[in-house]
Amino acid sequence: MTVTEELTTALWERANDSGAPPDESLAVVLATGLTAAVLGRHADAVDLAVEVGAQYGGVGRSTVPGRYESLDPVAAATATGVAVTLGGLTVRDEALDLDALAPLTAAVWSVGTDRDRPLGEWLRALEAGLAAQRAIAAAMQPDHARDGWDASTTTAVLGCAYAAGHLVGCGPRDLAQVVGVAASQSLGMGSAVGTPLGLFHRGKAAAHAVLSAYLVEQGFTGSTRVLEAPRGWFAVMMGDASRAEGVVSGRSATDGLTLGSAGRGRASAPCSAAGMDQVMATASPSATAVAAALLDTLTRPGATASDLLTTLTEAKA
Amino acid sequence: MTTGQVTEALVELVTDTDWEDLPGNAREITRQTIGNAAALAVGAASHEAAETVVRTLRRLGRSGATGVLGRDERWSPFDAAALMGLAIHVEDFDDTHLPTVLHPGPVIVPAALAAALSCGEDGRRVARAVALGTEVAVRLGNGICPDHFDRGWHVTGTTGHVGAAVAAGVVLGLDPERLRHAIAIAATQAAGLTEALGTMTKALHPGRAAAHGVQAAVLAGRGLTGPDEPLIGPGSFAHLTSPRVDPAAMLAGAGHRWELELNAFKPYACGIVSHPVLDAAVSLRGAVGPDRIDRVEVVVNPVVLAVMGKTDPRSGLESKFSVYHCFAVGFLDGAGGPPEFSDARAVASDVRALRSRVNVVTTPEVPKGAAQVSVVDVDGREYRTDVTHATGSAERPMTAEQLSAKATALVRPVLGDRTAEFLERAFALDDEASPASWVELSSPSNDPDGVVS
Repeated sequence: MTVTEELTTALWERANDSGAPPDESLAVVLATGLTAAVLGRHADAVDLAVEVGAQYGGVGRSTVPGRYESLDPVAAATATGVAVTLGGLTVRDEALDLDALAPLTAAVWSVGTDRDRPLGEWLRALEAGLAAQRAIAAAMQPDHARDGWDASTTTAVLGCAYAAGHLVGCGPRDLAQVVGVAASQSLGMGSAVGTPLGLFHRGKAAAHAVLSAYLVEQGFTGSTRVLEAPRGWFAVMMGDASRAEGVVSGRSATDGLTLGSAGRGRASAPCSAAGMDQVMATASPSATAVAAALLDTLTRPGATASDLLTTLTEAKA
Repeated sequence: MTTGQVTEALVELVTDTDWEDLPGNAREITRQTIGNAAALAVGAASHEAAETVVRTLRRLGRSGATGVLGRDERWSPFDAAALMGLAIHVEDFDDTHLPTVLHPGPVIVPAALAAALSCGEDGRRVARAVALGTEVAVRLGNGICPDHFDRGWHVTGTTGHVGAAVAAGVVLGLDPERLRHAIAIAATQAAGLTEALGTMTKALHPGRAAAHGVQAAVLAGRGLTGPDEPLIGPGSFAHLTSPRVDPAAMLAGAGHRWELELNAFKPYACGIVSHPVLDAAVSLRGAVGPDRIDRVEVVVNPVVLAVMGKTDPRSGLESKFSVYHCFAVGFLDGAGGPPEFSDARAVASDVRALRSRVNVVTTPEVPKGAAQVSVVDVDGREYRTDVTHATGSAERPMTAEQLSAKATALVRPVLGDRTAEFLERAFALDDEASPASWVELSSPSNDPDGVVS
């Protein structure tokens, strides 16, 4: 079995195992991401992303958390990613120097709302995306960032592909193709980080992955061995296709992740409900209540996308 | 110009050059680039890959006011650019800047055209944009290829992003500072893996590059900014994607020597490094019956197997990257157009039988554009042809008549009696007052008789 096949099969089987409910830490991550989106939703860069998405995109059932414009899921992913980035919250894998919050929140949110998938599936998609991004990044970091790439963005394209692919209902082969199509839309120059353009990186990573999932759903074809191929992901990004052998399929989605705030308090805490409260207290006066309400909905058995939208509306009020 | 400020120098080249400033040959190559691309856009407008993208756009609720060559629907300028770029490239029948192996037509033409359709600019502005977008894309490629391509980057998708942003920026009239930021916005999204060869994703590369180019110009026009030097230096495009970066090669002779003049047009619908083998197969046709062939010995440069090594392709898209298939259809069919690289021919029994008898040996002593091909019959007789320069190469470019015949063959099945008018305007787009009416002419439903002949 190739590296891509092994990783994809493992993630697909885990995401489609209807046994145990998703771990609460996944809901913590998503509640943190959605809270960040609410905090960042009115920034100028978000306005620009929404304006362009509304003018040139489609009319869909998605939007930016806390905003009202109807956007298609690709445009919503871009704008939501910008909003989360500007919300000032992070979910970091310190060992890999990776912040996975914005792109995965954007991908799961945009497809989840567009497809009205149960929230349990959102969390399984998030789990697949996080596990994939960390597994791939583990085979690339720290060299990849040293080379000058924005590693949290480049690897997010692939993580988001797994998440979006799950939410559109891909089987293992189609899931590998989503990753193949997405890998050909990688992005993330390190030199853009710190400029206004850099604020768009994580949202664009999510958007490219979401588009890839929708394309494959309609029959579009891509490589099914994109990680390890001689001219595949690791070859172009690392100059060495054999680095793909470092991808470990069984990696946990959330073990060792740290929640953080770049706001006044600059707090960090473990990825748990208590940790989230601790971080939110330093983020903004309203963040704690919003995050708690979101976490409550995300962990409620049988909750739907509509429930989450209601929670967001009430939390804003 | 200093090599430390490559982006600034390229922007200066663009803003300082009007259409009339270009030498006559550069203008003519630009006209041909547009005409060839337009014919391909119409000819492949309903390709399965294009239809798949259209279904996806519909699923996303997309719509707009920008027309697409060869189709009836209207989309946003981003989606229109993507669709046309995919259609122009999907048959691997487009054009090639030979030093970089970059295909400018499917990226730059749709970006410039979609931008022009969105704002009502005329054909001269489109032609200028195509020329300057191409020039920037191939110059950037000159500074990083072949290392960039060898690493696995599809240069059409990567530097094409930057060229598309320039083309759209020229059409939209961006000032130099905003054009520089448009380049940055496009550069950070510059992507495309050659691992995708043989799948629909390969054609998505120029489509997305064209779309992102238009989007970059729009975003820059609305104030989004990026790094001052996005192309050269740590964390920037060239140094991230190539182990060798030569800024001097990007700027050599800029404004005096026009790299776009090296754009050549493809006579065959497959990877260009196999073209000499196809030439040889066509010339050997008739020397011996296919049933009497014992084996075929092909000697080529190693790049041929690296790119075209699929021994038993299962689809039309895969067959475009099989030197074995190229020989077989060249010998059996005497041609190498889209019909010879269809799904049906990819799995046809006569083609598979002949493919299985093709042996390929590589040596760097054979140049990339050459091939030595021998057919040995069952009696041991050998028939040999050496091709030193393939049809469509810089040394043996397609003539204007050959290019016209290729374009007509692509367009006539779609447009029937409107073909001549459409192509006449396509190959003289710089004189076109209304690119929108020309695009409208290519709409399948715009048939005065209600029937395409």
